[in-house]
Amino acid sequence: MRITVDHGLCDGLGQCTLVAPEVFALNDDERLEVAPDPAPELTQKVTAAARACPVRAITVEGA
Amino acid sequence: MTEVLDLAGLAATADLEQELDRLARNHGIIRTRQLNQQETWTVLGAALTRRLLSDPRLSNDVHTHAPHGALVPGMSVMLLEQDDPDHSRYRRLVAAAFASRAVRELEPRIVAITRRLLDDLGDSGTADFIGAFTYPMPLEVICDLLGVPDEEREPFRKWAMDISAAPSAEAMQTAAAELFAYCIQLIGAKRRQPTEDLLSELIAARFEDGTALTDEKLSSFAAVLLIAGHDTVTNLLANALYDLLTHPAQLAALRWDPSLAGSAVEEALRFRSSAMTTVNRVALEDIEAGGVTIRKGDLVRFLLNAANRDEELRADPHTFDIGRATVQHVAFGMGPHFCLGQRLARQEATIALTEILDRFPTLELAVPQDEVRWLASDAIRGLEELPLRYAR
Repeated sequence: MRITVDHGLCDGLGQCTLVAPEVFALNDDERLEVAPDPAPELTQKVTAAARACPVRAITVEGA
Repeated sequence: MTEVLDLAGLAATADLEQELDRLARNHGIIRTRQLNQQETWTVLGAALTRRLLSDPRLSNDVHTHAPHGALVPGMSVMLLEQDDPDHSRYRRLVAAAFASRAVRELEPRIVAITRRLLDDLGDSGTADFIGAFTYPMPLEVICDLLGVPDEEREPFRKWAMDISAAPSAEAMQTAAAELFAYCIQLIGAKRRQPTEDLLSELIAARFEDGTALTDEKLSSFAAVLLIAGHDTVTNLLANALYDLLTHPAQLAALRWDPSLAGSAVEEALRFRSSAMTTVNRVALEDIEAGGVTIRKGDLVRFLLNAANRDEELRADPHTFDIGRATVQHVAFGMGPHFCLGQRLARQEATIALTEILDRFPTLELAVPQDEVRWLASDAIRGLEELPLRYAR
């Protein structure tokens, strides 16, 4: 599973962090950080997190 | 559960939230009747709310799939009634205007509007703070954002009033049509002579393929600002004041430490969410949820007041406590339609609360607590009037 975040689009709204907190977190500057190599069993959560983003800033490949 | 709840009737009491909690203990989802007599599924529980607000089987595009569930018949409201990929495409275009930095830059203008309205109240007296302050304040902010010239604000205020408190669906549609026509004219003026405002910015904005927003879509965005950003902020602020004034220890804590204003706003958002119900969704296929079967074509909405009093969000949910405020509420929804203007709403409310308490060391309800009247609305949670006695 490969997760890409378009930081030009990401607005730090944190919707993905509510759906998949194991993988996504906002740092103090509201910049999104992604955990490296999430476990395969998190695939469904990561896909749902990408879908929850209002600006679709997250792309998930190989899920 | 086959019983259909009259939500607007229940909302005319102070006990709405407790009553919803009682219902939510047995039902994750209930049937309610809307003001236009439509029946909808209405989601109560926090977990179910979070899950279904991001469920792609629920569509916001009611104009295509269930026109009887539309906000304004015949007029698809930008963002609110769009699905992806259109929704994210439009949202990307307007997102910058509501990002952290853009909203921080609005602070001096919001402070100026706030102080001007407070000046009008004089040094002491009794006034309905909704009419005198919490209603005009966010409306002036919206006028500033759109760049409505001072001399054209009076009719704009009237349309806003008619849209939010129209006596009938026809009156609402008439006001919406007049507002729409005015916006088309305003957009024309800004095209000829751009000014420093959101509307001029949006006229200049381009999608990734180089195309721009049409006049119709730009006007629809003005409607979005009014529908989503006016009454909601008016009642957020009035509810915050009411709940602080009826919880004197909380008010004292905030007066002692004004830096708690942001926490007070978060707690007010959770405790009595002014945006009570979301816009309608429509089921694109049969969905099993909360022990019921939502059929394809059924309308579904979310009762955020109920979800925010779920124990899952905070233990002891019926206690108003600004010291235990959490941002983990759903007052701004969740998922793809998470409120575009949430930073602006939070900033407006925090500034207003800070300035009001700073201006008036004496501030109290001017009527007994059990005499305030709650709006019989199924969309907005709030008071009809907030009569306060104030003094500098």
